[in-house]
Amino acid sequence: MNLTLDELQTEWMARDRLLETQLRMNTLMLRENLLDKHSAKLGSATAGNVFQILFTIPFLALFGWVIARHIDEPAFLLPAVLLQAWTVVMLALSIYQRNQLHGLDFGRTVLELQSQIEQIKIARLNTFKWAFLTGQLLWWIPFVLVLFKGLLGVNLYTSSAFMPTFIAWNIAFGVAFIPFALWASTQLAGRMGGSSRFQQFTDGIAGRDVVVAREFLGKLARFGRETEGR
Amino acid sequence: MQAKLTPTVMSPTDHPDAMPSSPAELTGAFIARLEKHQRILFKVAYMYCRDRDDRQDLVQEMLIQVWRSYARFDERVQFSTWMYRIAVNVAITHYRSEGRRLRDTVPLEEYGLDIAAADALFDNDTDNMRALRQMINGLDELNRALILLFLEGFSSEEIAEVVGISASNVSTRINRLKIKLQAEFSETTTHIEERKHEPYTR
Repeated sequence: MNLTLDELQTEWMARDRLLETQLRMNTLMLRENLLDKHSAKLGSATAGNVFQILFTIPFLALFGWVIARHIDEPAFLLPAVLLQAWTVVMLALSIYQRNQLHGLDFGRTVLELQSQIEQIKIARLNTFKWAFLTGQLLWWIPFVLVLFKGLLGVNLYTSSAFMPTFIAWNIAFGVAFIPFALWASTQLAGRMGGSSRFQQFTDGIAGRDVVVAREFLGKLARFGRETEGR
Repeated sequence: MQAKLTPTVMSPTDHPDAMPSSPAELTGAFIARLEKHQRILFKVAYMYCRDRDDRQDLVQEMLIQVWRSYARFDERVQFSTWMYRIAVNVAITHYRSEGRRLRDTVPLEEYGLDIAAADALFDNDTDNMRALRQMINGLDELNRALILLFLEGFSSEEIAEVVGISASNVSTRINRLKIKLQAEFSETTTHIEERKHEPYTR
């Protein structure tokens, strides 16, 4: 048989007319179960943002308090400033990216929207990756030092003879962890077929998902360009 | 050759100035428009999803997105064109995140949509339509959108408006797809014919 796509189009349109006559819609159910539950207003990111800000405030207050109290003690000032900066940057990025996602206009053209989605995806993946890697370093020893000093008034540097060595080793381990995690994730990326969550995690750290997103961005750009010949 | 068919005619609810102001009017107008164009959701879903459950999730996601985006609807654009944009955008996003999705969904019937009727119709597709769908399954997400809109009878200019590329680019790509699909079509229909005559062995 040798039908052309134009002939198939006629058959497609005939089925479409049939679909039009056969489909029924229960408007009452639609109104009750969809329209009343999902606001027609743009999806608001406010609830997520408020929750995250409320969750972050105690940490910001603690770090701020330690900074103010120990402004002339670099041993406490430095970890507190780093933690404060990390928390503020991550909070700002998270809110910004959440607002971007909720603000997506699906009524835009396919190329515009899909490009926007991929760009947001790349930004989120990079944020997650660096939040995880730097978080391993900051949210262990520096955080414990600031927490003990800020809440209990305990100076862990001098609490025992063993502590300075313990702190130094842990910081060194935290710094070394970043390149090691990057290397290990590239080794594991794409190989954990039995564990999709772990796979997703290693792909994220290895930047594999970013590569996929960039490839799709490239594909969208090529698709948008004029093609030569017919 | 470009299709000259126009998929939807401007209705009173498609008219510029028709955007209502009160929430009740907004909902009423939305329902009227959705009722008229609901089949767009099913057709796009069938284009992107083979699995029945997955298709149900996709239609639901499209429906929610159409409703949530409705406040942004620009009356200068035809409602059907805008709905195609949303449906295709949701379908491509869904298609690209397939396998990494874990979400509770409500049966589509609870939203008042008649997916059973649509399923029944698509299940009884002719051999030609099945062969067409099989070939479309081999296309990527962007070319599927082009073929769908072509089959729907949109002109190159209208397809360009949905996809966001130039009309000449659309024409070139459609012509290439026509040649490619036509070559595959005779092969696919032959396979379907052969399978119909094979004895049932399981």
